[in-house]
Amino acid sequence: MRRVLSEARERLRALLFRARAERELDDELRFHLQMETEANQRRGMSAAEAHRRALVSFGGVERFKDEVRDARGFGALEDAAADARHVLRRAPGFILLTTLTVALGIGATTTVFTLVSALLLRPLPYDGADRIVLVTEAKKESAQSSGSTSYVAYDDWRRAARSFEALAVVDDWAPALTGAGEPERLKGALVTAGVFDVFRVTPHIGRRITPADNVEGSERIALISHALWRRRFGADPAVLGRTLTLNGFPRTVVGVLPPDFRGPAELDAEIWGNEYRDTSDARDSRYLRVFGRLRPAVPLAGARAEMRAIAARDEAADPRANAGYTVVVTPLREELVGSARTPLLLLLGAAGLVLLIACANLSALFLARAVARAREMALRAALGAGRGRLFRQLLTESFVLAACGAAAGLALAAGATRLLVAAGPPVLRAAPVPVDSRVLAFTALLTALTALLVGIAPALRASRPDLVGALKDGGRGGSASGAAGRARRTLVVTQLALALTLLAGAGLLLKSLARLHQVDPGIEPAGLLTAAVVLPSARYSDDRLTPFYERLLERARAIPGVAGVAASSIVPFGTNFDRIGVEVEGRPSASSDDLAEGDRYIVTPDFFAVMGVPLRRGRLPTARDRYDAPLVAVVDEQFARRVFPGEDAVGKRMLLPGRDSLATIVGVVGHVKHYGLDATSPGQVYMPAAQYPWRWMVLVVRAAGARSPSALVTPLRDVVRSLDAALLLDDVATMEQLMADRTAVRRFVMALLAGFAGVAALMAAVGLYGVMAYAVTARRAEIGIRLALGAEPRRVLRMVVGQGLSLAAAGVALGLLAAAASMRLLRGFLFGVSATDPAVYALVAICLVLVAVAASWIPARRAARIDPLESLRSE
Amino acid sequence: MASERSELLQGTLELLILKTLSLEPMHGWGVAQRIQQMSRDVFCVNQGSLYPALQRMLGKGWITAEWRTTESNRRARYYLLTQAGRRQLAAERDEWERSSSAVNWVLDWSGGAA
Repeated sequence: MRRVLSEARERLRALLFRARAERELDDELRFHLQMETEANQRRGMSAAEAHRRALVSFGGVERFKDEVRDARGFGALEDAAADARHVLRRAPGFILLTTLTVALGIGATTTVFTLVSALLLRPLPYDGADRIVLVTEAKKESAQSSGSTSYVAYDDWRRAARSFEALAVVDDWAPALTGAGEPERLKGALVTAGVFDVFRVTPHIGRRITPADNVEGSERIALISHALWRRRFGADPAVLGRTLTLNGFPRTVVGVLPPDFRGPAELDAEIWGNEYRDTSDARDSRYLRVFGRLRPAVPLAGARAEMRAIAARDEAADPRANAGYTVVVTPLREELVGSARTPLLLLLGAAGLVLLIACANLSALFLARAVARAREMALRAALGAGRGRLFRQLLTESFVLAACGAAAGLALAAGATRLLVAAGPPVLRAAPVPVDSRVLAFTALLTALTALLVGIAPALRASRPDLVGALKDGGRGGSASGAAGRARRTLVVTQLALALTLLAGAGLLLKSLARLHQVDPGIEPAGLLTAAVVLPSARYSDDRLTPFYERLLERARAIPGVAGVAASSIVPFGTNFDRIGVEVEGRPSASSDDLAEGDRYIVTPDFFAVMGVPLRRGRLPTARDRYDAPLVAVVDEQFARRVFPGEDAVGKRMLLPGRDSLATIVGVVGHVKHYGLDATSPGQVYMPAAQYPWRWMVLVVRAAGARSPSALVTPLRDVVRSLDAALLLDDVATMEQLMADRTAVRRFVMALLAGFAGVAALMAAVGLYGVMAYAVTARRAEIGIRLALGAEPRRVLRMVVGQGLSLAAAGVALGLLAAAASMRLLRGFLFGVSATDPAVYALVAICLVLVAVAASWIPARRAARIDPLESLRSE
Repeated sequence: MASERSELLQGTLELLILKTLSLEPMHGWGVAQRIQQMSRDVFCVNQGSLYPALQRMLGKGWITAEWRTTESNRRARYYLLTQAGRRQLAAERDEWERSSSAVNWVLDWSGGAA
C-alpha cells in the first residue's frame, strides 16, 4: 500500500510538474551525450564521429525519452495522447476536461450526501435524541402528524401513559418585549417543566421551570436564550430576577439557556415562558404540541400501541370531542426533516447518475489509451513483464486521476452545500450541515469506486492482451472496430441514455412548475404587502380593537403610493391557518365531525377589493355591518359547493365561533388557494371584523401602480408607531414572497435536477465527441481513399454525423425506456403533468439529438477536410 | 569487441545500479561507466534502458535525485540511495545469490544417470 502511494505521488508530481520534468530530462540527456562524446574523443575519435557514436549508443533519443516518460508513469497517458493526437487534438486538455467531469460528478454527489448525512443520518444535537418523539392527535384517515393536541389530552396522557420518561407541552408564543429600549418581537415558546427532561437541558445560569410553575395561578416566569442574554442584557448575571414586560404583562427572568442549545422547530426560541393552564380547556380545542422522551426500554412501536389504545378509550368515553381521532407518535427527526427525505434521496440518485456519466468519460479515455498501447503491452507481456505489474500501473493511474477529481469535487461540494443551505428551502436549516468525517469517508469511498469502475476494464484488457492479434495488427492503434471501440460506443450510448433520463426528470418538474404558476391563486398577488399588528390584551380590551384597526387603516390608506389597505385575521400562502367547525342552521350535530369545516377569515370590508377576490353572488360585507347589526358572513364558492351542494348558499344561516346568534350568508366569492397552488382546502368563511373582533390582525396593503410593495414598510411602521409607540409590525412579507416560499422545496428539487441534467448532457456530448473523433482518426486512411476516389466532402460529413446520430438514437431510445420506468419516483413532485408526458419526452429527446449533432459536427468537418495524400502517406 | 560483451539480464540492471549507488552518489553516465568498469567490461549498460530504470527506481522510492555540479564544473543529476534502497539492495543481493547458486548447481550437475 505504501508503495502504491509512493508511486502515485511520484507520478502525480511528474504529471503536475511535467514541463519541469521534461526540461530536466533534456538537461540530463545533454549531459550524458557530452560525457559520452568526450570519452569517445579520448579514445581518439573525431569530434563529429564521437558525437554520432554517442547518439547511436542511445539507440534513438526520442525512443529513449519515451521510455523514461513511460517509467515516470503518466508517460502512458501522454503516449495515448500523442498516439491519438489526431483523435483528441490537445490531449492534456481532454484529460483536464475528463478530470473536471469527475470533479463535477463527485462534487454533486458529495453535496447532496452532505445534506443527507446532516439531516437524515447525523444524530440531532440533543442527548439521546433518538428517544425524543412528537405525540399528537390526528384524524384517523390522514394518520399523518397534524401537530396539535388539546391541553386536556396532554394532562390525561401525562398521568396515563407509561411509555414516556417525560412529556412536555409547547405553545407558540411571540411576545412583544417593551419597556426597556426599542420594542421588539421575540421568538418564544410557552412550555411545561417536562421540556427540560425531554431535551435534557440544564440552564446556563438560574433555574429551570418546575411542575409547580405550570399550575393555574403560577407566577409568570421566563428563561431567555444565551443569545438574547448577550444581545439585550450584555450577558449580565443580574438579569436573574429582573422583570420584563412581555405583551404588556410582567414576567420574571429566572434563568438563561445554555449557549450551545438550539431547540427544534418552535422551541428554537429566544425566550421560554412557563405555561399555566387548567384542565377546564375544551377537550377538542387542539392547538398545542406535545414532545416526549421514550423510556429506555420502550420501543417506538410499543409507545404507538399504548397511545392508540388510550385514543380508543378516549373516543369511547367522549365521542363528541374525540370521534375520528387517534394519537400519532412521530420520531423528532421524522417531524423535522421527514419532508426532505424523498427529495434528498431522489437528488442523491440523480447526482449518482451524473457521477456515473463522468466515470464513463474517464473510462473511455483509458480505453482509448489501452488500444493505442495494445502492441506495447503485448510486447512487454511477451518479454515477461508481470501481468500484475501492468495491471497495477494502470489502476494507479486511474486512482490518481480520480483523486484529483475528488479533491476538486470536495472543494466544490463545500461551497455548494453552504450556498444551498443559505438559499434553499427552510427544511435544510433544521439541523447544522457540516462537512464531517462521515462525508469525507463517503467521498473517499466514492473516489475508490470511481477509480475501480474506470480503471478495471481497461486494466484487465491491457494486462491480458491478445498477443498475436495485437502484434499482427501492426499496432496502428486503429482497431476502433474492435472490442474496445464497441466498449466505447456502449459507454456513450449509456451516457446518452442516463443524460436523457435526467433531462426528462428536469423537464417534468419544470413543466409542473409552469403548470403550477398557471393555477389561479384566487387573489392578485403582485404589489401586495402583508404585515401583522397584534394588540396585547393587557392594554387593549375587546371593545377597543375595532376602533384601533379602523384608525390604523385610515392612516395607512393616506400613505402616498398605497392603492388600498385592509386587515384580515390570516392571509393565504402564509404559514398560518384557522380551521373552524361551523354549525349550519337546521342540521343536527352530534359530534365535531358533523360540523362543516372551513377556514376562518375575519376581515375588514375592503379585504376583497384589496386582495382581488371576486364576488360571485350576493353582496360583500360593508361598513354598515357593525357589531350590533344582524350578523353576516360571506363564503367562497368551494365552501358553498361543499356545504350546500345544489342549493343557493346566499340566505343560509350558520352559527360561527365567537357570537351566539346565527350569521346570514350574504354573498359568495371566488375560492382562494390558501394552502398553496398545489394543495386543496375546504374553502373559506369570511366574517366582518367589526362583528367578530380580533386582536391578531394582518394588514394587507396594495401598492399603487408598479411600485414595489417593500417600499411601503417604513411608512407603514411609522403609522403604527404614531398610534402606539409600543406596537410592532411583525411578519412583514410581500405576497409574492409568501407564494414563493410555498414552492421552495419544489423549486429546489427542480433547480438541482436541472443543473444535474445540464451537466450530464454536456458530459455525454464530450463522450460522444471523443468517440466520433476517434472513429474519424481510425478511418483516416479509408476516408482519404474515398476522397481520393472522388467522394464529395459533403457526403463524408454526412456519413460521420450520421454515425453520431445513430449512437444518439440508440441512447435516446434506451433513455426514453429508462425514463418511463423511473419517473414514477418523481410522482410526488409532479403537478398537472403525467410521469410519461409525451411533450416533455419529445422535447428532451430533440434536445439531446441536437447536442449529439453538435458533438459529431467537429470531427465530421475534420473528416471532410482530410487530405487524401497525407492520410495515405501516414499509413 | 562489442560482441564479447553481454547484455544484462532482465532485472539485474536495478541490482547493479543499487550496488553502484551504495558506494557513492553518481550521475547516470557515471553509473553506466562504473558498472562497465566493475564488471571488467563484461556488462555493457544499454544507455536507453539505464534512465528508464533510474526513473522507475525513483518512483519506488529506492533512490532520490538532485542536481549537483561535477568536478569539471558541469551541472548533472546525481542519484542517491535511500534507506529503502539499501534494504532493497540487501534483499536483491540475497535473492541473486540464491538463484545464481541454484543455476550453478544445475549447470554443474553431472546427473545420477550419466
